[in-house]
Amino acid sequence: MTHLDELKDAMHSPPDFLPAPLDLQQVMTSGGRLRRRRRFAVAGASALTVAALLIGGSQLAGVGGRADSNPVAAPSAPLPSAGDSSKPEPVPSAGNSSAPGIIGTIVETGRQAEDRRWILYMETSDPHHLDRSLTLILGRTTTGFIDDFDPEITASDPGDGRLAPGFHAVRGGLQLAGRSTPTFGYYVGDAARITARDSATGRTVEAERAPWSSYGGETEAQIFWFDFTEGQTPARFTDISAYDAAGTRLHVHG
Amino acid sequence: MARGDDDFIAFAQASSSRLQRAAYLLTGDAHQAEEAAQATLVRVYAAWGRVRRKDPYVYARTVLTNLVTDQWRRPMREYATETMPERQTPQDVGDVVSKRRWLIGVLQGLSPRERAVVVLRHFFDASEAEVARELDLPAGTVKSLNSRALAKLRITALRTETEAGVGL
Repeated sequence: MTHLDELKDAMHSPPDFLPAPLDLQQVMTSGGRLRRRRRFAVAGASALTVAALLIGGSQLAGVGGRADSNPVAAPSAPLPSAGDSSKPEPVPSAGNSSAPGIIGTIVETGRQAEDRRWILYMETSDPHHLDRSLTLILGRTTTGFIDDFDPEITASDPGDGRLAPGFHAVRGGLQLAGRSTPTFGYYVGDAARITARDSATGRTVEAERAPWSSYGGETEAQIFWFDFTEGQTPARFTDISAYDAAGTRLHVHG
Repeated sequence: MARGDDDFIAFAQASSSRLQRAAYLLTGDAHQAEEAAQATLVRVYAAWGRVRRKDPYVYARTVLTNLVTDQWRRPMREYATETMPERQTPQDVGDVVSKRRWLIGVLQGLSPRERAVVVLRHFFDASEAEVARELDLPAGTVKSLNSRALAKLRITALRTETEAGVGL
């Protein structure tokens, strides 16, 4: 038999697990954005309440209806689809300024959860030093407006070298808050294919890829993800690899 | 740097390892644990002005638990096993690491609800009422889940603590 204290000791020092250093700068960047979005939502709700009182509820019948039934405004910068990755659309970002925040191409995965589309994009806390500040975000959006981006997973390498040739910020698929997320990351280099092995089936699977660039193409990478299905347990992948057009294996480590 | 950031950094540095361990106990996956702890701290930072003067650690615990256990609030079948692996051989039992590994293995074989109750009650030392509130479960359910889980973990302290008036 076991004493309760032994269980407590085991839980406080589980073998085979070592906590990782977390990127607090990224935590604060994402948390600050979440805070601003919540304030915006509260302010919007308050304004709507005032409007309802001033105008009368009947005249606001369209509010809260389906977005596509009576669109108020189109997204300021339509997102490129996953299948249209050869033509990434530039979006308002830090790419043309020194402001921290979202930078470069926004990528749609073509999947969605609870009516919000999964997107992948980059952020930086220091646009002048992307090599140590670039962070990949898996988020969701409904409208495509930047202030509607809802970050779900932030992924970055520790320290410098985030633009060195090779794989970076690779994160495995999860069941996060009931939603399925893909295995994703970014690759710096001229990969023509990115593949991995499904550990359950042993099959080699090819990733979806989309070019990412900022500063007018000065900085380039490929954002990739493996296809995933909402509601299904994400596949586990191993042996992630990149190949050039001739089929030669490229750098693996970032 | 915003007002209160120094306090948040101190809090995050002090609690990140513990949050990651709790997330690891809840998920059984080191990578998911890291992601969940980071996502928890993002939400704590977003609410820092509101929670810093209360108990940010309790808030973080609640956020983490909700993040990880949200999926079993939805209709789903739990695949808990009633048959736990046999204990280590006698010569291994004396090995603390071996025994801890066995306990963590059994913990991860519990149903998500049982595991969440055990982690909240015995890792975070939350009261039965707090666990019931955070998991949105009746207190009686929390009590029975805890008892069943501890039985699977072959914990002997159940009788002792109950007799001492400490609810489990």
